[in-house]
Amino acid sequence: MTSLLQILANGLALGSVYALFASGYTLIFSVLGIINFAHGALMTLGAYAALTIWNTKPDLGFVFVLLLTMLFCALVNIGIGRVAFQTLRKKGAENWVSLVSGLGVGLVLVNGIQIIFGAESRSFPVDPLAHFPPLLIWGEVRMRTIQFFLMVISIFVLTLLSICVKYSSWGRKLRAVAENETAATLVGIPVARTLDSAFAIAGALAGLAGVLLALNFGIPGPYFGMTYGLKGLAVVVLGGMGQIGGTCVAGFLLGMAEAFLPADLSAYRDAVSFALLFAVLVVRPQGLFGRSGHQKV
Amino acid sequence: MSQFTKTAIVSSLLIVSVKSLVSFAETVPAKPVNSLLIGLGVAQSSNVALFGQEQVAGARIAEELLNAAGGINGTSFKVVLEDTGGDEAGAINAFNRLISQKVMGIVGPTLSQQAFSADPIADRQKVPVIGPSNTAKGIPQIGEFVSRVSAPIDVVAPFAIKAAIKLNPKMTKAAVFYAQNDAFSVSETGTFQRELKTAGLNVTTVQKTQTTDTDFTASISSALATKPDLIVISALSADGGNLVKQLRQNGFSGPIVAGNGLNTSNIFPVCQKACDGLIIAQAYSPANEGKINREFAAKYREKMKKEPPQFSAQAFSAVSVMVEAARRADKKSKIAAMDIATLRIAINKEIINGTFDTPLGEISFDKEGEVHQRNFYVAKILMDAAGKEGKFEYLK
Repeated sequence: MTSLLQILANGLALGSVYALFASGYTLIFSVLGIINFAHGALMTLGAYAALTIWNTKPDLGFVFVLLLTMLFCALVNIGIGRVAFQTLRKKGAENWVSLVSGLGVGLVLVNGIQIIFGAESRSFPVDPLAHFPPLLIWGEVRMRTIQFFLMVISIFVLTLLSICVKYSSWGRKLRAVAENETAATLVGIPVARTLDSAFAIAGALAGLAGVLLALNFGIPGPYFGMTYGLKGLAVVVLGGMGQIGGTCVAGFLLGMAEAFLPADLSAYRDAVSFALLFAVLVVRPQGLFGRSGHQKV
Repeated sequence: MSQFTKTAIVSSLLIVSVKSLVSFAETVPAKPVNSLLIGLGVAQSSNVALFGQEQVAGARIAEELLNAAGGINGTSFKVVLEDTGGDEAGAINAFNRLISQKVMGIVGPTLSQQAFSADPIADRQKVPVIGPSNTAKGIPQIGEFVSRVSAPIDVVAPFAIKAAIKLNPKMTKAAVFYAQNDAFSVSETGTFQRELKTAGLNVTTVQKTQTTDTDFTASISSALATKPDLIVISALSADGGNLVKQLRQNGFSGPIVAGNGLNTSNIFPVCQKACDGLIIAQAYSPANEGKINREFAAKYREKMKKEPPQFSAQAFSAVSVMVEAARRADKKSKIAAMDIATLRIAINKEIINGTFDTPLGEISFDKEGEVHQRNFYVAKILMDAAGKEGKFEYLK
């Protein structure tokens, strides 16, 4: 029998991945009220970008490559935001049109990656955790080292993001734009630049998630980010659309739910995620931490 | 003119027109085949594309070498590729597109799961299908136009279990993992579990996974809690490779037997050092001394700069069987004069009745289209010290 502590550790490890991935989704939803379906593909792009940098310059340090990748994904996401979302919004398109354009951009990105890199599995040529033991053991609880790092980084990044959105000047501008674009413009907030900054941060988060997940699982092929899309969506809805703190809690909650699933039913993890989502939505249609009505951020 | 009279006249004209068209169609002779096409319907996208790319490499080499050797009795043939993706709908679409291009037969699809959906479509239209990598139970039984060059898993898989027991005779407990959303893996794990029981090993746990899974933390914790001596995996390369890596990272140091889904060098970048020691049964060995295999392996190494994998060898074999069947049909009655429907039937008849020399060795088919293959192998993966490059070392 797996011990209770081990199950909790497994849940935390799983949940941190979901929370980190879903944070970028949430940020864009909190400002524009749309789901960016290109987010999973952008995460894949981040993994392949880091791979390319390392293949070109294998002696570059992990932190430098990570920052470079995050910057690259931030710039790409600004482009995606302007082309696939903001153009449509300016033309008064409904939100569901943006949903389709995001999905389209995602598929183009993934297929582009496959044309350039092929469908083969890949892994980074360097292992930044090579100096650590592969497994951390605390009594009867075991956790792979990469999972531990992923969990710590996820919690740190999500906490930082929540604080920034709530207390920084940038966060205040973001909330003002989310509340009412016209009013924000009238009080002198540069709406276009604020939206770009939201896409940049979401892109950087996707890049971060891509690199960390590729360190954890390798790069199983160009489609691996897309498979996180639905799970990320479940986390965002469960936490309350646009609630960054809620996303974090929902990610861990989902991870726990999956970890507590009996071994015989482990193949039905996705069904459990969505059953849980359904059950929560029946009771609280706005999600666990969402507010009713149209309030965001 | 009354409304009734108008309706009667229009109806009569319509009936006459339709009848004329039908009788015209009946009197026009069926068009002879003017180009010899072999359809290749395999995965070029999705997480199965890893296998599909290996299959395309094998089929293209077959096209090049067999055309250089005279094609189909002096007429060159062409391999037409359609992407099936990794699901059933993709395979059905690809098969329909290939059939509409008037191919003489189809090599594909990549997965057994896809074959169960797409093969009946080809079979109903009497288009011969040769499965290059479909090893699940029941594939040749889909219909009389369906055969396969990939030996069924219940023939191949037991070799790997026997080899693992031979290497570690004191084992008593085994844990089993399989991807429950893949028909081939489900079929394969049944064979593995039967073989484990026959060998007297206690199966302590059966963990179900998905081919799209990347994190196996919970399943591994459950499995390792049962303290198995051996772990047996039926999955595809990306998920299976990750599972192997995470098992080793979680401290499992015993032998791991993997199924056909991990039978590819594409797992090396996924499990890296952790791939070392993985035991896999094989339907193909690059060391096979047959002339056709030597030519295929040399061309593959020249083009791809690595050892030919089983999936490429099987795709080559499937195309070469189709070509050889067409050659034999042509010798009996010139296929240039045949319409496509007659040609397809003639080729299928030759496939079922023939014996073929392929990189897999000499193979033949039974009446249902099931392959009969003589030689099977078991390989152990050996990785280099850096965990970057690996090779399949064939066990005696």
